[in-house]
Amino acid sequence: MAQKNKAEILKQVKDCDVKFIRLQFTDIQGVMKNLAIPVSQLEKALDGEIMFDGSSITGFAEIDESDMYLIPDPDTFVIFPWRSSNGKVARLICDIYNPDGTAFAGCPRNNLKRVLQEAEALGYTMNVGPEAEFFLFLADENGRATIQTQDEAGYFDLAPLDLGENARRDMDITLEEMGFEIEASHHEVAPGQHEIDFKYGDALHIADAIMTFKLTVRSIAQRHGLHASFMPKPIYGVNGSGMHTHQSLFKAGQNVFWDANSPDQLSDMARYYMGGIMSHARALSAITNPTINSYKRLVPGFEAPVYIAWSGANRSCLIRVPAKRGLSTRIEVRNPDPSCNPYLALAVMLRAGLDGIAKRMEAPAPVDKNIYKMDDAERKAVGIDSLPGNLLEALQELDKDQIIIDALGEHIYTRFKEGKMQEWQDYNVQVTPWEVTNYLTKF
Amino acid sequence: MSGVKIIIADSKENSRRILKDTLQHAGYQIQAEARNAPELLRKTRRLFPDLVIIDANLEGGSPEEIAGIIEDDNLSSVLVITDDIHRRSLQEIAHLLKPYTEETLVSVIEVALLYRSKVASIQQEVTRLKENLSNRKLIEKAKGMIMKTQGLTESEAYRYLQKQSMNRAMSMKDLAQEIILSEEKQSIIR
Repeated sequence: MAQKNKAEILKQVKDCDVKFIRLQFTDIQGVMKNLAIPVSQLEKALDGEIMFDGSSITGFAEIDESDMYLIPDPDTFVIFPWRSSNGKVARLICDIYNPDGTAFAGCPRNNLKRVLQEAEALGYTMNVGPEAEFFLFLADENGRATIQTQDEAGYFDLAPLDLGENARRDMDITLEEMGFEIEASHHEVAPGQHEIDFKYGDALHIADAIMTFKLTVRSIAQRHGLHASFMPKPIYGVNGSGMHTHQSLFKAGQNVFWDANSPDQLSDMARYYMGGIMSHARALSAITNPTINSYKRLVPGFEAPVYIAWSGANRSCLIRVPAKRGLSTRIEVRNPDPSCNPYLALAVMLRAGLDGIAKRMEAPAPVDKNIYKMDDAERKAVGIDSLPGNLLEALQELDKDQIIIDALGEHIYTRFKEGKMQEWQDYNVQVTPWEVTNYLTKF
Repeated sequence: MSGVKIIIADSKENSRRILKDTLQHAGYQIQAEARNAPELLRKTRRLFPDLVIIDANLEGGSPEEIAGIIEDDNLSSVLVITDDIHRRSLQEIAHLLKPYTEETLVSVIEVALLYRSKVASIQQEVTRLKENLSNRKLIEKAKGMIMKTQGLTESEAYRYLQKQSMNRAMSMKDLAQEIILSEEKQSIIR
């Protein structure tokens, strides 16, 4: 995308009669936050003079560090193609800065930039292609989500299948109007489940794009009387929603994962990078799969990875290496889900991979058998470990992994950990419908 | 008014029934009923009604928001039936104030439908004119390029374009686009 400057943005806003600008940033939990300003404040915003109270955002900043500046990235300027009741709205993604002009360490976007700069110092740029899946559910009389998919609602609603397909087509068109290049858009395995893939790009651009993607998908679904959910496993017994993340490293315009002379055309770098991801997989899961619900997706039988292994085709593995070679050589990490904070998820995966390269961690031999069908002893014999079974286990692994903690920075790590431990404790004291069903009459 | 298809949206069953009876009595076809805003959006996108009648107290979304979506995406005409409280936010949307008689309702519906068909034909005309204008711009640009590269006069260049268009069975617009594109490529090489 061409570099946009202040004058161009101001002109576009005027030409298109934009009424409001949303200044967006993503908090540590991965939730997009907005500060809406009228157009009259735009120039001030572009000059980085807009302040907000950081302490009002959970896990962000303490009372004593509450004054924060929003510094917009002019390249992220987009006018939303859909109208709100207040007229045309545009957005700018922002970085958060301290009053003394330094980058705020608790801003996930700043943190990703830091990790990317460290990679750049070694000559590497990271390319990423995400595949986010989501469910379309019927919205109820309060405009809120139900877990009824439009497909299975067949008896009650009219030609339900078309509803989801139409909504998705509208999403594709809207995303294209916003500059996305859509590569694939299709119905997924489960009823009501969809996937839209867009073209790969550099890591920062893609992290922004994932946030924009989720916002757009939700907004368009709403206009169709549907609710789009990126919850990893909304329904027991059917496939959950993942966000498989294709990634590769480039150095001086060359894909360093490709080696035309090796038997499988994968370079040592690719093997080391995979080795790094695999050796840090148990810790980085806390970031790529950050919710209680994430671990209900990572169970055998639903095309989600459970075991730490890699393969060329096998979909039960953590990493799959697609057949494409040359500039398209890449690995597909299959555990991330769309509830993750993309800025943090890309930072930890990159750092894990780079650690693999630095320490020459040779990835083990590929596993082409269906690991779901191997028993514990067989897996142990070939040295296949599994991903954490729940959020608590993942958080405990995170505590032990200084490389991943460094990739988050102390500030984000501490706040993330606090928030997630609270989430775990809240969950742990709930009495679930499953317990009532199974125990109420039995004892 | 025969054959006019209407979806009615009201969260109260009783009001829906009364409205439905009134409309049917006046000869309209009730295509579907919706109890809330998301259901209305789903049914409207599926059934292509001529008119959607929304009660201002419909649950699940504000009437101006829902009417905005339906009108922006060109799904149907909209009429909001409102009480005095909601009236102020509906200035840009066709609305009818309660209480009303059947005669008022019918004439408001007829005006809304008439207005929609007029707007639709104006919109078609605008689209056609816009397209003509942008085609004309392309053809002018290509003509200028040909005058320059082949040393032709304006009328010669236009005749050249016409001939090429006929010989190659391409529209003038597509031909002009091709000429501009190849000329731009040439200039990058140069």
